[in-house]
Amino acid sequence: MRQRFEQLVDANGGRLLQLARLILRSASDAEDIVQDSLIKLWSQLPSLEPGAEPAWLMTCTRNACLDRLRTQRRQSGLLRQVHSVDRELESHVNDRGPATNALHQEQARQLHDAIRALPEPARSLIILRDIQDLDVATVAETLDLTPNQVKVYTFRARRTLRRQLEECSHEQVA
Amino acid sequence: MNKWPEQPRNAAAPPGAAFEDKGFEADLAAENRIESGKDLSHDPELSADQSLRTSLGQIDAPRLPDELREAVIDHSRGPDRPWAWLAMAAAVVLSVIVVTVLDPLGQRAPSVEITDQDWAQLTLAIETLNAQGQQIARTTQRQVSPHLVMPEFKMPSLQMQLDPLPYPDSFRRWFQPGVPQPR
Repeated sequence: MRQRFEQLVDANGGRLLQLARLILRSASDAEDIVQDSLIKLWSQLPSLEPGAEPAWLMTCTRNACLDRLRTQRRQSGLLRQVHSVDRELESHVNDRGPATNALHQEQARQLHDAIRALPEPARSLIILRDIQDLDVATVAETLDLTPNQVKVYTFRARRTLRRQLEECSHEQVA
Repeated sequence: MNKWPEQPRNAAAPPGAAFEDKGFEADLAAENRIESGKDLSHDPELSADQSLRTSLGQIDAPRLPDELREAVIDHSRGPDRPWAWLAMAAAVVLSVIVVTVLDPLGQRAPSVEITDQDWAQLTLAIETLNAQGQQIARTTQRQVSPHLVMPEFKMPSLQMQLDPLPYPDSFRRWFQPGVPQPR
């Protein structure tokens, strides 16, 4: 079972971290949540059907991130820790390596902000479907949607995101 | 077109419920065209959506930091440790039981051999204590009696004739089971 667990950690750990980082502002918060999710996976592994683990992990991580966001919003003082968190975000964006080579650093930051600004489940759909390219069935299970809902809502989320990015670039040009 | 439900729709909802959403089928068809990867240059909006999808797909997932991975894997090793300790404890208890059963008290040899000289010293010590006890009793009677004079009470004379220990050898068999019983 430990071997199976290690394989799941290696196969899904990066994706979970990406999901958490794109939902949360703080990279350290994201790592905490991913660690908790993986530890929970270990305790739940005997009861999980083989193959169901990725969806379970995504659901667990996403729920934890949304809970963290709600807590942070309640604590408005913490939410306004813009400077330190922004610096952390900048460094995170900077060391993303080949992931954002095609995008300018500023565009990458705008993209992160625009994704974070999306409401749920649009944000999760963009991350899981478009960025992580998870299959429709897994995303549907993770978000408790039908496969067709996943497709339609992803389409709408992507269009919303595109328009937000276009508005940002228009403002910069202006 | 960009309406968004506040809460995720329950997957258990009736299949027809999704189609109450106007534009649902049109958006589904559009998404299917984007996912198909076909050339959509004739439709600028869909082409832009497809382009964004392609760009988003180029963002690689970060690598899980080594420290985080180690912490998680270490945690998975944790629950086995109590079993190891329990197994060791059970082995210790079992060995004690086995030793106790196979080596009863009666068959155990004395760990210390008492010599005749040891026994002579012990006897002398006991006799000395006995003699000193008798002397203390006599001295106490002699010194305390004058202070206890009462008109109507006469102190009875105490005969502190303590006999020597009747069977000093009775102690010996505790230490040397081989010594014959005293008569």
